[in-house]
Amino acid sequence: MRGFDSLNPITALIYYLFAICIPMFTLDPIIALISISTSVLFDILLQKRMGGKYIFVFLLFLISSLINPIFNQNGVTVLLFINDTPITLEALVYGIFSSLTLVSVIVWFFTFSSVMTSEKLIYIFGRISPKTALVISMALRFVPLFLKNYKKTENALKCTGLYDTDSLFGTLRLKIRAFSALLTQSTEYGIITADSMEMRGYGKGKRTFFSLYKFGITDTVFSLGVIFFGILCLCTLNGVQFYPTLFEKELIYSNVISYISYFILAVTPSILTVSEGIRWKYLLSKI
Amino acid sequence: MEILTVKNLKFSYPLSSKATIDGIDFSVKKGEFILLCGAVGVGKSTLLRTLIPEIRPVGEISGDIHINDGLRIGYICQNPEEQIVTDKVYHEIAFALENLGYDNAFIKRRTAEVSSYFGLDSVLFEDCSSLSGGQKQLLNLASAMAQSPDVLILDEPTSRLDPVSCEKFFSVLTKLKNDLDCTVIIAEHNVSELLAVCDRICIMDGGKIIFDGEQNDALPILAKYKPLQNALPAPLRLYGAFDIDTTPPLTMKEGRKFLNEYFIPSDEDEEIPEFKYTSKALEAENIYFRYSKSGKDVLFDFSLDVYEGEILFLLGANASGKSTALSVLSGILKPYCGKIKVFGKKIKEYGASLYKTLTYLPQEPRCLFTHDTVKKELDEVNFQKDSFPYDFTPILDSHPYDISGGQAQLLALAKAVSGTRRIVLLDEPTSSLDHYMISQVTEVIKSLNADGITFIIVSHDLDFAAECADRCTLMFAGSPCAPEHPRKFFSGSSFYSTKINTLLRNHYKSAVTFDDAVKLMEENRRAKI
Repeated sequence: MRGFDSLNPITALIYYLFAICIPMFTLDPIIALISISTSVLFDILLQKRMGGKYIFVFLLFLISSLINPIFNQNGVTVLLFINDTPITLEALVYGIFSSLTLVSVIVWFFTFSSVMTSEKLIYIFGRISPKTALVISMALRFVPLFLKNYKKTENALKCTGLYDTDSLFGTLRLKIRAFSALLTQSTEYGIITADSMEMRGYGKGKRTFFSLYKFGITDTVFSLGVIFFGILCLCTLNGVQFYPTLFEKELIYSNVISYISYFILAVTPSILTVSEGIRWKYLLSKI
Repeated sequence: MEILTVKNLKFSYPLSSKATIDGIDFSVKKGEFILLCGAVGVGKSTLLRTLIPEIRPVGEISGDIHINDGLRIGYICQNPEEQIVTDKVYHEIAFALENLGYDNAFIKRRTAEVSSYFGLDSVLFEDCSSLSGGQKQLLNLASAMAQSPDVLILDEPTSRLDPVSCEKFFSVLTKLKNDLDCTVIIAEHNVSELLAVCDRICIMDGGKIIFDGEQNDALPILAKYKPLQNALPAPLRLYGAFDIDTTPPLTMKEGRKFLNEYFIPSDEDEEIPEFKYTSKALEAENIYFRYSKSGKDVLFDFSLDVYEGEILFLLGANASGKSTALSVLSGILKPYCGKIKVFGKKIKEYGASLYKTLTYLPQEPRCLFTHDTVKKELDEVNFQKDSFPYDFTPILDSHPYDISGGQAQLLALAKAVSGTRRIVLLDEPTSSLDHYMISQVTEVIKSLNADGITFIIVSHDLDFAAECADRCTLMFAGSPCAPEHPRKFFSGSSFYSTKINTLLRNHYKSAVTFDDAVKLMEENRRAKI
C-alpha cells in the first residue's frame, strides 16, 4: 500500500467527499469527536508540526460554540439567566458539537489543500474538460507572473521621482499608474502567448489531456473501501436529537457500527502516512 | 528538395507608405541551416512571420509563397517568458501534443525523450516561473521540437539571454542540426556563434536580401559589411579592418594564426590614466541583504565607493547578486544591515526625494512607460531636446511599445536623466539590443557622463564595459572585488575578458577594445614578404 499522497486524485476526492460530508450532514456528537481528532492527527502528520493556525481554529471553536446558546433558547434544562435570557444546557451542548463539526471540516480542508496540489486539481478538471484544465493551468502561471511584474513596474516608476511616495495621495497615484501600465504590458504579452499557442497547434483539433496519474488497483480497492464504510456508516446511523431534551445514552450504543466504520474511514490516511514512515525507516535500516 | 519557396514577396504594414519587404526571392531546402542576418529594422522578423500562415502579420502582401503540404513549422521568438503557456515544465512540453490530440501513452514517451534531450529532466516538475531565462528559452525550444516540426524558425532567440545561456542555447541548436538534420531558419544579431554552424547565410538590407550564399562565400563579404561589423566574431572583425588577401579567420585558432602571419607581437604597455575623480557620490558600507529570513545572504559584506562623474561597471556571473546590489543601492530593497549614503547623506533621510538625485532603470525599460505616445512620455519629464544626444523626432508619435528595444532603452534613459538627476543606475542596458544599438547607447552614456552624470552599470556585456567604463569590478560571493581601470581589469584576468583581449593576449597584452587592437596592429604590421 502506498502513502495517501500518491493515490490518484480522483480516489482522494472520493475520500474527502465522504470524510467531510458525513460529519457535516449527520451532526452526531461522536462522529464530530472522531472527525476532529483524526483530522487534526492527519494534519499534524502532514505538516510535521502544529502550526499557528490552530490558535485561529481554537478561537473559532470557542466563539461559535458560545453563539448558539446565546441566540437559541430551545431546551428544557436552564443553566442560568443573562438579562432575563435563559441559557439552556441543550443549546450549549448543541453549540459545542456543531462548532466541533465545523472546525473539523476546516481542518479536513487544511489537509485537503496540502494533499491536493494544483497538479491534482488540474488532473480532476482535465478528466471533465481538457479546456478547463488548460485555463486553470494558465491562470496558475499568469497570476504570480502578474504580481511579479506589478512589483517590478511599481519599483521602476517609483525611481522616476515623478511620484511623491511620502504622501498617501502620491503613493495611490503611483499604484494606479503602475496597474494601468501593467494592463498594457499584459495585453502586449498576451499577443505573444497567443501566437505561441497558435504555433503549437492550439484550436486545430480536439484537445487531449496529458497527466501522469494512473487509476491503478490500489485506487480501486481504496475507493471501494471508502464507499463501503461510508455507506455503512450512513445506513446504520440513527439520528440524534438535542431539543427539547438531550438524546439518551442508549442511542449512542445503538450507533456503534456506524461509529466504527467512520473511525476506520477517517483514520486511514493517518495510518497510511505513519506506516509509510515506518516502512522507510525499516528499508533504510536494511540498507 | 525545396520545401518552402517565396517569389517576389512584397509586404507593407497598414498605414505605412514604405514596403517592409520589398521583393524577396527565397527558397529553403530540406535539412538546411540558414542564418538570416542584417541590422535592426531591415525586415528580418517580418519576413519570418510572413512565411508562417498562422501568425502572418496583417498588411498588404503580394507575391507567391509556396509551402509544401502538411509542412509543420516550429516557431520561437525573442521573449522567453511570454511564450510559455502553462504552469509546469512537463505540462508545457506536452502542450503541443495535447493540442494535436495524441493519447496519454504517446505524450508520456515523447515528453520523456524531449526533456532528456534538452537537459530539462531535472526541472521537469518545477514551475516554469522558477526557471532562469536560458532554461525558459530551452523549454520553448523543447516544446516546439516536441511536435517534431519539419522546419524550425527562430526569431532572435537569444537576444534576451546572458552570454552563458546563449552559448548553451546555440550548442543545443548545433546538436539538433547535427543529430537530427532539422531544417532551421534563424534570424539573429548575435551571429558569432552561428557562423561556424550554418550552411547558408542571407544578408538583408532595406527589405531585400542582398546576399544569399554558402557560408564560405559569405565570410569575406560579412567582414566588410559595415552595419554588422560589431556583431562579428573577433577574428573576422579584425580581418575586416585590414586589406589582407587570405581566407577569413573564423575561430580563435584561425585568428591567432592570422595574427602570427601578418603582425609582429609587441608588449608595449600603454599607460593607464590616473583616476581623476575625488568626491564620493555614493557610499555603501558593509551591506548584508537576503530575500527571506531563512534564505542565503545575496549581498555579504558589500562595500563600494562610487565617485562623482565616473562610470562604474559591476560585472559578474549569473545570479551573483549584481542586480540585487543595484536595487539595494537605489533604495528599493532594504538591507538588513549596513548603510548607504548618497552625497554624504543617508538614503533613509531622503525619503521619496532620493529619486530627485538618483534613479534606477530596470532591465525591462517598458516598465517605465505609462503613456500612449513617445511625445507624452517625454513631456511628462519636461524633456529638453538639446540636452540629450539622441534625436527622438522620427518616433515622437509612436506608441512606446512599438519602438525598437534600443530606442526604448534610450527613451527610458532620456526620462531618467531629466531634471536634477546626478546618479543613474542601469541594469543590463544592452541586454536585448543589437550591436548597432549598443554603440548608440554607449555614445549616449559617454556624452551624458561628460555632462557630469555618474553611472553605475550592471552588465554581462564585457565589450560594452571595456568600451565605456572608468572602473570595473567583479561581484563574487556577495561583494565586489576592488574596482580597476578596464584595461588593467581585463588584461589582468585570465578567463573573464573581452573576446578581443582573449584573442590578442599573447600578441598585444594591453589591447582590450577593438579600437585599441586596430591601433596596435597597424603599428606592428609585418612588411610584405
